[in-house]
Amino acid sequence: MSAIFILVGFSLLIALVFLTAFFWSVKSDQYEDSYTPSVRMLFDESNHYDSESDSN
Amino acid sequence: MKEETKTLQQLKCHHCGDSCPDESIHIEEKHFCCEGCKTVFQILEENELCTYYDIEKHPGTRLNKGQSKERFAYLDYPEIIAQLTDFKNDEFSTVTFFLPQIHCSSCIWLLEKLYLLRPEIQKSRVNFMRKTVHLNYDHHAISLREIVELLSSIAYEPHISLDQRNKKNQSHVDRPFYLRLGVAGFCFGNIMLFSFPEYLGISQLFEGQFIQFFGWLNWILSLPVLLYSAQLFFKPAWEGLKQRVLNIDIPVSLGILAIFARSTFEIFSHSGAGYLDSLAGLVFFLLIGKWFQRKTYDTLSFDKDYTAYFPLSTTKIVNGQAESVPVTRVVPQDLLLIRNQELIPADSILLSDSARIDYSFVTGESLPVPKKKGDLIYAGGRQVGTTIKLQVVKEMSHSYLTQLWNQDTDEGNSPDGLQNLADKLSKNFTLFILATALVGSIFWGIFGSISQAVQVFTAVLIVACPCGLALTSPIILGNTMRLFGKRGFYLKQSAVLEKLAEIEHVVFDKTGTLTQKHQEGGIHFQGEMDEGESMMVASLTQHSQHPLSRMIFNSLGQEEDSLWEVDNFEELAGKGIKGNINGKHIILGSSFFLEEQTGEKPAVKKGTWFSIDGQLKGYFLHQINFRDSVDTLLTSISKDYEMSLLSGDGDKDAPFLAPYFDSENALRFQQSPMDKQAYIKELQHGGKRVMMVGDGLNDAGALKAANIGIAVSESAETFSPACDGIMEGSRVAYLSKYMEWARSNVRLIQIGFVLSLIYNCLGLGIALMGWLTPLVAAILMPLSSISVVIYGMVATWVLGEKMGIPPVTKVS
Repeated sequence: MSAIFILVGFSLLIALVFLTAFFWSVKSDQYEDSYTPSVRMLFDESNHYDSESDSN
Repeated sequence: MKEETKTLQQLKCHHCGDSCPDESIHIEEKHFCCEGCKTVFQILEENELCTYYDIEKHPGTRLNKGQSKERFAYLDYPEIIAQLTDFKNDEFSTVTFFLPQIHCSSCIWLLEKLYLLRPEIQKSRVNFMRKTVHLNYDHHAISLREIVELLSSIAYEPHISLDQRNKKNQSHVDRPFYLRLGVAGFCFGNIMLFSFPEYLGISQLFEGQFIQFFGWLNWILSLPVLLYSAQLFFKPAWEGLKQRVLNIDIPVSLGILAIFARSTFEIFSHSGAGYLDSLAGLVFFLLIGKWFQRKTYDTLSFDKDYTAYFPLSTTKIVNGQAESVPVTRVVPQDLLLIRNQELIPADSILLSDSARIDYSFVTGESLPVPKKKGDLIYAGGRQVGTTIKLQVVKEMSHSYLTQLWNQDTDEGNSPDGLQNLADKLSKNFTLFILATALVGSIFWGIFGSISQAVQVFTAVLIVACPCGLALTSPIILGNTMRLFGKRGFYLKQSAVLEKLAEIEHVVFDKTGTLTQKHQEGGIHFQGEMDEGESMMVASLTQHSQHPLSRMIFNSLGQEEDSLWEVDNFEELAGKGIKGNINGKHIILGSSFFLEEQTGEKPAVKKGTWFSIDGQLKGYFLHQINFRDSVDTLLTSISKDYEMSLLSGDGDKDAPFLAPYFDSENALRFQQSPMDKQAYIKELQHGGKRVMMVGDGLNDAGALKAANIGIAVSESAETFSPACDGIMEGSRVAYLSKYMEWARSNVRLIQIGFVLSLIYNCLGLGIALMGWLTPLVAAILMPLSSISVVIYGMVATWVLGEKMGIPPVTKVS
């Protein structure tokens, strides 16, 4: 039955990963604008824009 | 054949989609409506940016031509640059511009490709909903002015105002709130998971160590909820306590603390599993309620003051040279040059011979006022005609009108500081709960044991935690506010809805509110009039300077030279005019005046009637610039509310409006912005709750003073003064419906309160009997919350449908 300790530990860990992901998404302004990215992703990327977009 | 159909069809401009006047402006097959559009196309073509035209058809906006490039000269001033830029380091600066022109995906595409036009702009990001573009640029290589000029050259001229600097550090999304919600959700889910053995009654199957282990885990997980997420309830509760006000947050906080204390005791004394799942769930649901109520409109701003209207720069004469300077640098004694259609930034003396100042912006008067050399001109006026020269007498912030807008006015709060229904109810509720908890625990203390007494005391507080109560109004008000928004009426906060239900007196502005902006009214004649009579009316009205007389005269279209002589001409102020022409006696004026003079009663009260030799001929109606709906609006409002109208304009529309108002006192013309504000305050001192419906800056003081100020705007994106709500012009007709809706809404909230109180009583009974197990709490608590949420959503939606106000088509 002591496997439960490990399983619970894992489940909490995974949940924490998701919480961190949520924190990151809030902090990186993903809730600032929920419309424009949906349009932006449909444009054909032509050049150096890709590399720049990560520099946030 | 193909060529023919092409010319038959209206030629559409390749850039903006307007129809072209002729075929003269074109590049190969592509036609343009003006040189401006052609230039934009050329710029884009040179830079291989024509994909712009592939994404959407005719994506462009028309370029405002004929403005000098010098108008951006003020952007070279370091203090202006510092105000506008968001961030600056050694390598680059960032700036955010508001571009009202953004309207389609082509706009996004082009604005995010600015680096192809000027590589110095390293990056640009569009926020479509907010119509802003965020730029990173190398300030060593390109100046802010050059960027603005570049944007203007492709027909995206930024809207720059002084107001911008106040907005600079404001993030539109409340990040901590989202984080609190996320933490609460995370902990709620996990605590529920670890509570399952307890729910299912299988805890006995495990060895005791698991139960303890889960208990501790739950306790640890509940700490972030208590210490972080629940702070949003503790803070207002503490504020309330300090001000001796029992608001809704107090019983909520009390409940949360009771759950935590009881659970902590149970877990560490190994006497039970605690109610931590209920705690986390409660906080999570309440935060969702708060989130729901926080709806804001991205592109709307409800807190504009005069600085948003004033230009950033003006032309100053320094050593005989015209120079563009920031308005903040304008000091008394400065000489200013104001061109056609420019705004006067500060109170000044006119140095030129004459000027025509359009004050419609500040006073609502639609006709420009002539001014002579030496006259004082107030800030906010707009010069119409030639360029004029002024000498400043006061700084902008000390101007006659700007001071009015800066005044603080009473908010019209109720004396006990409790503004919403939930808070009012919670006052009695909290006292009742505390009393019940005490009586219950005393009972168990006498007839049972001390531990039972403590248990009952905490159980009552736990179960009485007015979760449903606290959720009811956020859900109902939040959802109604959304439904209002879909129907073209945007509220600043959901609390405005509750105030809207209590309004007793509605005050209207005329220009721009009841009338359509920028449309001169026409004159319509009802009745019979032959050519000779028309000449007589024209001859008579020619002698009067009253605006209505001028309009009637113009509408008749008679030659001024051929008019007849008028004998015994007489003008009675506020009534009408009369005189003799060719031996016939002609009278023109309001219906009352005509009845008084001729003894005959005109068929309708409205309009300007005229009679010849005592015989009524017909009436002139000046109404075309009123909104079509104005009749419905005034009739419906006057049925249920007291109503008055304040106009900055002259009384030329009085004959049309008078029938709707009970007394002359309620219909006031030539009201200055101060008069309007004073009138609102006078009504409030008389104990009335007043709503002001207005539009321009001339109403700003009144909008602020009123319990609710509603700004009417032709489209939601245009600027409106500080107010509690913005209504689209086309929706004004439904005003009484919106108000009826708000009142019905209060009943919905009351029903919701009853519903949640039933849950509370049910829970109270269970708690007093000592039956409150964690499982019962875990079922009862979400059940009450969820049913209240469902009730709120469905009820408001049904009510909205029943009101029958058509939604506006565009996405809000």
